[in-house]
Amino acid sequence: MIRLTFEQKEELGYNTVRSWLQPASPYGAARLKEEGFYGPDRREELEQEFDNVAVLLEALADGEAAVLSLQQALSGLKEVRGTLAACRERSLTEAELYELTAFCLRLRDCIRRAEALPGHERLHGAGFISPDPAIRILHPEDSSRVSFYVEDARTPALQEARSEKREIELRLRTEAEAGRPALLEARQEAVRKEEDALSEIYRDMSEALRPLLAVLEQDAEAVGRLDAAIAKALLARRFGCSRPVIGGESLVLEDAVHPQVAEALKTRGRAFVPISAELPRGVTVITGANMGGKSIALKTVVLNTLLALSGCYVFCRRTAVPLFENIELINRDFSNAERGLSSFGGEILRFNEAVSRLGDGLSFIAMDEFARGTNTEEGEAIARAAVSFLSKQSAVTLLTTHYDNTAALAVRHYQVKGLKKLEELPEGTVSGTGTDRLRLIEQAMDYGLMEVEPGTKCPRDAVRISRLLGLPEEILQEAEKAR
Amino acid sequence: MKNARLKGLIGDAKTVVMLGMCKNAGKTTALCRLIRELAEEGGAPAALTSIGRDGESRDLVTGTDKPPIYMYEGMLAATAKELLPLSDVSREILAGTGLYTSLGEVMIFRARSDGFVQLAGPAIVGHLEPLKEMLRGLGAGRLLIDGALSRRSPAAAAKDGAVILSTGASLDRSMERTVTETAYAARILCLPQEAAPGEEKGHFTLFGEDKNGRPAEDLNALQRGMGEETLLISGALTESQAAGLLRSPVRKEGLTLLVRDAGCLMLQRETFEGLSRRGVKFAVRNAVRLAAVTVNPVSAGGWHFPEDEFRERMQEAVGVPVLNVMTGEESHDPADI
Repeated sequence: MIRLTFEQKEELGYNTVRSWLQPASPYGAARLKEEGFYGPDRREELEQEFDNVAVLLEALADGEAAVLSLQQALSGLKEVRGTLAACRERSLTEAELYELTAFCLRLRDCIRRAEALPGHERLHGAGFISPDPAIRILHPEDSSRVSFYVEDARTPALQEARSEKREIELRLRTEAEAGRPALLEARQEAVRKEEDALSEIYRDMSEALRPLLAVLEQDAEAVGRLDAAIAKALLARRFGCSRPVIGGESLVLEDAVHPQVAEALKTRGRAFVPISAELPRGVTVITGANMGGKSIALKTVVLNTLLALSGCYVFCRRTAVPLFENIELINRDFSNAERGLSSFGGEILRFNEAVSRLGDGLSFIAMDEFARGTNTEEGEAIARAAVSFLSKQSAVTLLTTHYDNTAALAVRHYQVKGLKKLEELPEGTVSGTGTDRLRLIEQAMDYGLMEVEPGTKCPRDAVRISRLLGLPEEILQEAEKAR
Repeated sequence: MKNARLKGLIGDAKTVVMLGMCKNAGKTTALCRLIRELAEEGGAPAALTSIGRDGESRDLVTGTDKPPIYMYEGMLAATAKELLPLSDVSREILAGTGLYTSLGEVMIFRARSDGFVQLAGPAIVGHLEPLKEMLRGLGAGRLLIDGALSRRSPAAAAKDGAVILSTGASLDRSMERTVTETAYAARILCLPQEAAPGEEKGHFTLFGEDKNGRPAEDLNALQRGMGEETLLISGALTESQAAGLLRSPVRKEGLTLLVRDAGCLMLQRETFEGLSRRGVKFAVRNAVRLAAVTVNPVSAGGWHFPEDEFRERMQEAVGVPVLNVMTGEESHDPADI
């Protein structure tokens, strides 16, 4: 079970990326909302979801007109599941019968367009059942024109009431003032008869629809699934996402991108440097300089893992994602202050909760700068002990840290390439505003990851960065002496 | 103008907004008259709606009888879902609009018979544009809107529309005052159209909100703007703002106050006239056409005005055709249908 809080999903960029999925119908929207994360018990369903996205991507590559025309038709569908449920209990009103008529006619159109998609026979869960029996009840004239009206001939009682009413109404058109009250009164009687006849017809229609409700609900479900898959395929096409390979015990990402960060960088004229990493069972550590993008690397890994397990293609060239039982994120939690906890206290509590949820199945634990919020000596000791503990669990763990010694216990150690390009920069303070200096450092950073021997020391460049940022020389010299 | 037909007065207006000065002004009667006149018109059928709820058979405020709206076969109507069963015209439902009121979604139906309809259209004037488009897509011709002066309805008639203003003895026991107040409303509805100065630079907000209702800030803003000939006011020009301006010592001669449309001027007549006397001019960015004023000489309170005198004095005061829609003589003339 993957239980991340709203704030965590927000922080990871997961909510943002999911909001880029634009379903056309309320059914697709509901499907995306209820889909959740696929665990080991839903493996087949997850693969089917990817198959559907694959079929739709092929259809899009074949010529997007067919998919877009289906999407257009889907956008005309209104939510009727409440009306379907109401129909089990009572007679529907004319407005509700109109809504069902419109739904069935538009659904028929959607089915026709879905079946025109190349490869549609390979779509899972898109086995629509024709709404024609319901259309015959609601719309016996069976035109494609969306409207609801009970024709006079439906029952003799209706025919009689309407013709009586019509005759009076024709006379009213030309009647002098004096004769109108009597005619209006007579009309009231005809109106009552028409209303009686119609409510009987609405009751019969509702009864006749009752055995068909389950079929319509099934179609609504299928529509939602198809609509959601189209949204996923369109997003995958827009960003060139790939289908993740599901299974195994190692989390593998090749050239992974965090799309939200990438978009933000793009507006500043910069490109996201893709990261690659392989995280086997055990603990993988990422170390790196200040401002080196360790947290971004962690977010990129977790986000793409979550997307894969929610049935989306991922922002990577290639990925393998184990079907995790459980995903835990232990990061600095900004709601701690409200609960009266320091960030360190909050982290420890969250670690406890995560550990208590570890089971026999494979978990994924991501920890950002664990135990950073306390003194370095104890912080490092706690982080090391946690790594040692987690190494023995049934889990893939990813930890970002400043503490080199922690990395010595890891199965794998990555460093952010980071500051290599800094060699090209001037030695002293950079001139310009603070923002100019930050931008220069940003440009000198290589955010890519490189694998190193576990425990390799981080390059020591905090003093150098401080100098570039204009920290007073007096302080810098003092700091260098102490090193 | 005793026997004038409303249809002739609205010309080829695509949208007609009906406004009433007060309850029992005869607005619904005027609307029914216009619907009947349009029933004979060939071409695309008329469509009916209201701004907010109207068309009950009893007036909920004064408890007096109020004529329900009677529509004709083939016409379209846009009304809230919950009012459908309260209309007795045979209906073919054509669309849900996705626009919601407190009485449910606004639905569009085609009348498959003649009959009574209860109207509750969008309560938000901004929803009228999408509604107009939907109605046009369903084959509607003219759109008749049962509006209300207080609900900013005149805006709906901007561009290609016309307004019909209904007034009557119910407004005031004094004929004098009834005529004067109606003439004032007509004058506002007839304000000239002007383009905003430097509109491409964005709005110039003259009046801010002061929680104490004091216009101090407004005056500063105005003084800053002095030397301009035209001040563009975004949003409504309210009575308290205008009264503050009237009391202030700033020079007002030659100043034009420009609002979006007639519905944005919410001033008492005295304030409007006071500012006008000091040389302030008023203008709107979207003018409407006041096609006619209808009068009802009988009040709900029991008093009534002499019919011909009332109509004639109104005619002198408003400068547009005035007619009494309450007289029955032409209403059921067979030639009307």
